[in-house]
Amino acid sequence: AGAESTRPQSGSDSEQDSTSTSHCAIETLPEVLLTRILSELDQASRGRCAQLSRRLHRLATQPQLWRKIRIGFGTSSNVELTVSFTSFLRDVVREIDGYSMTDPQKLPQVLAASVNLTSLGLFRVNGDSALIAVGRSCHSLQELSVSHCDNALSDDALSSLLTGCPRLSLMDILGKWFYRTMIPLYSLADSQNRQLLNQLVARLANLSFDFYGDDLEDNCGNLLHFIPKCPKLVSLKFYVFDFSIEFVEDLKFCADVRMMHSCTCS
Amino acid sequence: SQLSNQRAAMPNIKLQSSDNEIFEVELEIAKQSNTIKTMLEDLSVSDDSDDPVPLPNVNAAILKKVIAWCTHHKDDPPPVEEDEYKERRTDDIPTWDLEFMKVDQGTLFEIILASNYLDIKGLLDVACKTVANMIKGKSPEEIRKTFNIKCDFTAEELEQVRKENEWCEEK
Repeated sequence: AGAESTRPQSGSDSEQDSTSTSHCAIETLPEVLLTRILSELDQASRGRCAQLSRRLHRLATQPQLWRKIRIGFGTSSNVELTVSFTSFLRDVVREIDGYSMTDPQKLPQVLAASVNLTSLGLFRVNGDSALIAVGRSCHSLQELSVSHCDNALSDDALSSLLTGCPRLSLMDILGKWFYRTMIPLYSLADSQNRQLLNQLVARLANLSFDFYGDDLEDNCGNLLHFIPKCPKLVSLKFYVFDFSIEFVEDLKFCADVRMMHSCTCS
Repeated sequence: SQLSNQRAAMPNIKLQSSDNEIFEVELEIAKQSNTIKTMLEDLSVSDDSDDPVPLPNVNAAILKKVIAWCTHHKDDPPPVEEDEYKERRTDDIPTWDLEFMKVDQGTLFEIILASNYLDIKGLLDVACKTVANMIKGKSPEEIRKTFNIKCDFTAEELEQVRKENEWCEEK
């Protein structure tokens, strides 16, 4: 081997030889490698590959490629809960990313059919109908991430999750939503919602706070002190603008945290 | 430095392509191939043996490409086992690799076959991502054209699979 080149060589004689003699086409690849390529695709591209030929349809619709799906504002109008889609949601799908749904009914319907779901991420999905549906139907749910969703954790949603999802342990809460929703909730000492919230928060394994751009000061500190002890919490993240992390050192809820991140931009 | 002294003292190994061309490479570079690594361990081939390691599934042109890739990536950290369900990204291919992968389709697929046979995870990854990037953003008809894939659906079936996959389109 000679000196390391900084750029790959191209256009050498031998490569051109291989061009002229190679009859290697995509369909001659073994199925395990075609599957590998399909696994690198986003779901829209993979769905288009399923329309190419019978063989690629069979390969592109293998269950292991569809464990995780995205349902968003672009897809909502296309989602039709046909019998086959319902069984697909039940038998294949284990993780759903739901984002920016404009149709308030579609995502709850999809979630209600996804009875074996283990992981759910909600991003900019406002209202509580999605999480109520989750508590009713997704009894195997283990992970829940709620980002920038206004009014998602209502009383109804919280009690639905508490009764319906006994295995829920990893929950990520992110967003201004937290700041805006939690402070009023936690300020009301006898709120039913606060008790429910505490029960759920006590199961958390991961917790993220996004206070970025918010005026923190006293409110934030008060909020954090309201949170009950979370015996399962192993990761705590703060996204803040200007915030001293010493602030959280004496917080009772994160006594057992082994991993703490703070992302500051000051 | 100590590291470069060690490297300078590294023994070489000879690799023999399917068309009987011999390539002499540093042992450490060749060992990025788990297949070669295992062969050397299993056969207890001594490091300074002069016998070439036969690679009957890789021709000289492709082996040359593979060695060039392994040479450039010899100081890479060992590949980590990725979470099966982790979000896959294909927009993270390093510039050198992007240039390296600017080859005709036949060569690209032969690189995939060779890196699979030689068990070089990093090269297989980047080659598969390159193909994925050739698929992304194209309509089914454009993908068929790009890869010369014959549609064997009836018109009825085609409409059915189109409808079946309509939901996963993201606009």
